[in-house]
Amino acid sequence: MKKTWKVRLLPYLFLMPTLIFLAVFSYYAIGNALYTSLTDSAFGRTANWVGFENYIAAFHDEMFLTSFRNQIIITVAAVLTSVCFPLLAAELLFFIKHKKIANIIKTAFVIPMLVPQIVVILIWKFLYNPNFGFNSILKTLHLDSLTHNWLNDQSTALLCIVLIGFPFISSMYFLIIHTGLNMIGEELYEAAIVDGATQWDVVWSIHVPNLVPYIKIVVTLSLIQSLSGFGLVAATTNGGPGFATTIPALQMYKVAFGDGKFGRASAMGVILFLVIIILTLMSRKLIKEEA
Amino acid sequence: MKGYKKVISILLAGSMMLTGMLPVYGSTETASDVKWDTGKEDEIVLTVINNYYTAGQKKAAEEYMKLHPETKVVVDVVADNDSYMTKMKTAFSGDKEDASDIVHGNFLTMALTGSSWNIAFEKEYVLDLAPMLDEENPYNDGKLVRDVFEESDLAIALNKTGGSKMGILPFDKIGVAFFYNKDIFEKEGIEIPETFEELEAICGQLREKGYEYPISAGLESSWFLNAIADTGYRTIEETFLVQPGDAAWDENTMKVNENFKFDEANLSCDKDLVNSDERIMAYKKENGVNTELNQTIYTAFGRIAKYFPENWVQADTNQIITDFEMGNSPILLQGSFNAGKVLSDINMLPEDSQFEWATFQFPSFEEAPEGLQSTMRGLYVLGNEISIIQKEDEDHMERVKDFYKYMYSPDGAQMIYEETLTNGNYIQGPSVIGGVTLDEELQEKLDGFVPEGTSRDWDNLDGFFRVTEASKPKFYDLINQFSMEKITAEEMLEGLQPLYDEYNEEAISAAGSDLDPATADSAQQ
Repeated sequence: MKKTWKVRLLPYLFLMPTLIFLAVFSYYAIGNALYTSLTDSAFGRTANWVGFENYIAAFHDEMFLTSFRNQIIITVAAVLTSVCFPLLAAELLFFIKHKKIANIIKTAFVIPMLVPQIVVILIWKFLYNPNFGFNSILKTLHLDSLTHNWLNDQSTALLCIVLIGFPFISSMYFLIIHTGLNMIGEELYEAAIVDGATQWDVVWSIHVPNLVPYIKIVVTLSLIQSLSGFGLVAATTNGGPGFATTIPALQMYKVAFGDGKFGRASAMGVILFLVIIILTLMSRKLIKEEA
Repeated sequence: MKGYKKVISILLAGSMMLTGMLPVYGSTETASDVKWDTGKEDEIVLTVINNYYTAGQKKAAEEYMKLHPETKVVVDVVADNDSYMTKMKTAFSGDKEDASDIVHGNFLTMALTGSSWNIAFEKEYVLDLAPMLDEENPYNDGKLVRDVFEESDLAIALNKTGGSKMGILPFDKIGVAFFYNKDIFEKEGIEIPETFEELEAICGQLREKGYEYPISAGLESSWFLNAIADTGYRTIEETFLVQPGDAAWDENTMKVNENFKFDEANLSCDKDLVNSDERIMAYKKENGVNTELNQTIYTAFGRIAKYFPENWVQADTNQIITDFEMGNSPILLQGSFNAGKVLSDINMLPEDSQFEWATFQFPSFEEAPEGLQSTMRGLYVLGNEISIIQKEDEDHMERVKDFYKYMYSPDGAQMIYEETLTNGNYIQGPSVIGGVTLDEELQEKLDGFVPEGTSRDWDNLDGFFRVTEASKPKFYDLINQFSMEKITAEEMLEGLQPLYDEYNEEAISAAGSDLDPATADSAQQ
């Protein structure tokens, strides 16, 4: 039966409101940032066209470039912890045969997700407080020599930020991987049993290959979240001590809303945007090839 | 029985009539007196930083709305200084008419004009409050607005905001001093330092006794640096003043600038001077920050800063106060605006953890380094700098001014102070509005912040914090390395030089300055 043009048009009509909102609130903003990055737009002044001057300035900005070094450490750690720990937790849960216990553990993993991220950050900030938290525990254990001013010491600040959220299980990523595991068909396990596969063989030869699309999603999401967000750093160290934990997104925010240089900040934003796209594509390609 | 009811009814009716005839409490204003259309509803917004007088200002808004129900007063509370400045930037990026009506003027100028009040007036961001001084304050028995202020405080407000227009009215004063734990001093056999050298020595002793950071300090410590800078820069203070023949010269308010020379025997001799932004800019451009004088100033500062905690320049104020309250640091370098908090925190500690504390002022040099004078002046300046945003709607402006007068009346200010303290919010220091009194214990603590003379602001010249927001991480790193004695003052200033130059070039460009004080300049559009 041939579809009428009205029927064919219907899905597009339903999509139209979403596309319009997306165009207004997302694509317009991106386009505007691109345009602004080519001007000297600053607070309280009329903007003038300056070509690629802001991009050149960004590439000469020592602070912006240094912040990428910190970002690499934070991002690599974020991606690894987003994949490894939830994967490990999901696998352990998979091998618990007692359904009730497995459900209780799963619920226990998920409940901390209900705590707002800023609360988690503040709890960790308290744990890193030189007068309380970890230092109190260390003092109780007579390990006073190990106490630190964790977030104010250049040698520990970045590591402390990376470790926020340990053991990194209670996240959406755990649910994604757990769902992935549950989607694997029973026939594969039956075949594995017939072939005399060990639990390790099951993980390595059945789970990992079948989880690749899910791991790809987790890598992409964690990569984007890590590169574009700066709330974690802003709420803990605000980039300090000195510039030990400064990251590009935070630097961009300071240039925009601290110095009011919207043109320069937009250029930084566009650079960051391109870096995110390139890294996302690269990571997806890499995982695809390895799979 | 019937007669008894009749008497009660007459009494009730009489009292209702009398109540209706009485003027509203605290105000002699009637609907016909006011300069706005009482038939029209309007909203005014007061944007303040969290905790400082917040509860008091909310109470003032509530009480004011009872007097003028046609005007809704919204108190918009912003979390911290950085967020406040961001808010000012975003609010003024759009239509100014939609921005808040009453704001912290100092943060507004920091956010929008590089701390220049002249640009803020020129761009019509803030209202000149000088004419309002001679208007009646309906909330003070019809006396003039100026009647509650000391003339000297009004002069400070005028000078602070450029010398010819008044962007703020005085509300309170803030000071900074060293808080010290009397119990630890007594236990360790340490006397209050009389000189800078003694302060340095006791810090050394305390560190030897196991106090890793003898002085708990944060960004407020820049005032100590400023006090040291003051001992040097005041010797050439005349270089930075508006002079006859300058475009900014105003005979009425700047006469004291003429032929001025600082006299160390009279520490208040420069209190009425008016600085020239343009002369300061020219000096900075010509000399930069890595000067011999700044090297001397920072070297002296470093002798004490090495006893501050790591990364003190970015330290959280609550953290450094906690370090003092827990006895980790026997000395705290802090402002009067936290005296109330320290007092209440310590009173809330378990009895065996409570301790006696007091304050001492910045001690003078026994032997001043070459180029500096001996006597150190403290800081005692206007604290809560509240401005009115200039808008076109006259009816609206009248309402805003009326609420402002309400807050700056003796009753209004007293209510703000009392409500603030009752709710555990911070007051910044003693009130400068005549008739406002404080609880005796707190007043006694605040008295410890009043120095012999007040140092003027030299951050512009010593370069502390005079870098763009984007360069601040680098600046913090330099200060940290210097405080930990990893680099010398000269090396630190060498690293600071390009950041300082960039900041100054932007300030010169924004002010549209040609660096010639004889010609009037226009801020960049």
